Amino acid sequence: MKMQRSVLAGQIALVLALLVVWEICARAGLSDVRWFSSPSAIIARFGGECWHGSLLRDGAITLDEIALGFLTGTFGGILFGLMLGFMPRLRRILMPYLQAIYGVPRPAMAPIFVLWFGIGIVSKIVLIFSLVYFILVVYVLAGFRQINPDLIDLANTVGASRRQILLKVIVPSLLPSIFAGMKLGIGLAIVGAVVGEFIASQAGLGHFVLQASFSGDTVGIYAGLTGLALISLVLVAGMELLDRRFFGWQHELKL
Amino acid sequence: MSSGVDDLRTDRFIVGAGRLGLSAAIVLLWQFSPELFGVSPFWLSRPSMVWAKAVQSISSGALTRDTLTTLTETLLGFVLGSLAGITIGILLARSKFAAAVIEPLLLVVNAFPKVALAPLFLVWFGIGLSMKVAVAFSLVVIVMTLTTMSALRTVRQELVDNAKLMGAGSAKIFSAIILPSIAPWLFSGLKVSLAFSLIGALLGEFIAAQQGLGAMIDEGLGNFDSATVFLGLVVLLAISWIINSGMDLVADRLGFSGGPGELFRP
Repeated sequence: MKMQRSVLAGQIALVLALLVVWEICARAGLSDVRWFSSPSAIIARFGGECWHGSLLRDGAITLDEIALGFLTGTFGGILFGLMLGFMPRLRRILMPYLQAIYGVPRPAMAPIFVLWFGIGIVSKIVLIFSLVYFILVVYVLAGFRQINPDLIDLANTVGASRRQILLKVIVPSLLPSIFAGMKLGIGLAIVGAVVGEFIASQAGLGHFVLQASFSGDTVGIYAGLTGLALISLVLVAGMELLDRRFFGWQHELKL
Repeated sequence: MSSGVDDLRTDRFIVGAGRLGLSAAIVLLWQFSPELFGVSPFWLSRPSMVWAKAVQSISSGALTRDTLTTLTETLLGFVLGSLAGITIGILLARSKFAAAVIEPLLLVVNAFPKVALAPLFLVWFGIGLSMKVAVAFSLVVIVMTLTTMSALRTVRQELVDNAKLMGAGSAKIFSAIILPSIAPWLFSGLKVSLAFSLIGALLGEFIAAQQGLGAMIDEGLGNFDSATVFLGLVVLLAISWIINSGMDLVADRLGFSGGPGELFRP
């Protein structure tokens, strides 16, 4: 407990110290503000862009892309994973292809989606969908391997119907790996949105950052990155909390 | 008994034929997509058009140059990032307190989409090679720092203590105990890192570059020349397949398995 408290204090102190050193170096002329800017300038710019500029709208668009791509990809992936889970022969035919697609550096496929779906929000949603979908398929299938066959035998012995077995044995066994897949997926969804916007876009945080970069506006880049950092922090931490809330017992068991 | 074996054979035959058939079907459907579905080759190109583009691009030397450029950036980012990450990881792990303080912060950094730093590196390093190496480096260094720290935690302290009791020096302890126990983890981190490094180099090229596979794909996209886009992607897939199976082969040879790979994202 005491260790935990001093670790937390150490973390806060470290982050504060980094910010203070960054600021002092900028003020004292030790670092070139054209490259490194300073925390106060970034915060001022971030606030200004939120009130007067397009940052909030860009953030909302990036969030839209992430939400739509992530949700459709999660649902689609779970459905297809379930289908393959119940059809072993089809699964074995498709498995090498799934593994090949899974091993592809998928963020690099973004240009195809821009070619097919244009520079608007749709190409980003499809890109994120493709990133999240395959992760969920792979994780659902991994979940199937973790189902305890004894439980199904037992359910059969006590006369459970197929529906009961599905709802009371199979689905609960799959949930932890589905959630693990979603945790990985949300991170990749953010990456997908940014990459898609970098390739070609008219709005979004990635667009904001890239435009700032092309006009040599370093403070603007940092302001956009700050927005992106906030979004990813909220989304990733949110998934982490949900995981602890619902599957905390599993992690404790592992210890 | 024999019917069981027959079943198994039929089963294998169906699965094998299914896989082969699917591959052939994909290539054929792609080639004849304009005739069959009325999809203009503008969107999908065709294997024959991609092949023609490849022949043309190889004879002009452009494809070789672009591929070598991307590979150079990837390898530089990979080597520099891994060396830095492993060093930082080992240094941090020397102090329990420092590790406890910094590791959660690094996990927060890991949650941030680091590819988004590419425009910043463009301002810092300009349009050339160093900017792509910086993007690749930024992806690799986090992976290797975190991997090294968790790998060092798996080293069994009682083995180290025993070796000390028997009078082993710190060099001997490192080579005989620590290195063998962290090697499989490090290797799995290196595999992830190499893949990430390729992604980083490519994304750097997407943003701004004069040569490299990313620049080639970007240019094809700008000209609505889908054959060039697909050619770039096919070469990229080949590279990543070679890298992945190469790393798997080495891991197999050395008897490595396990590791934290899935935790990371670019």
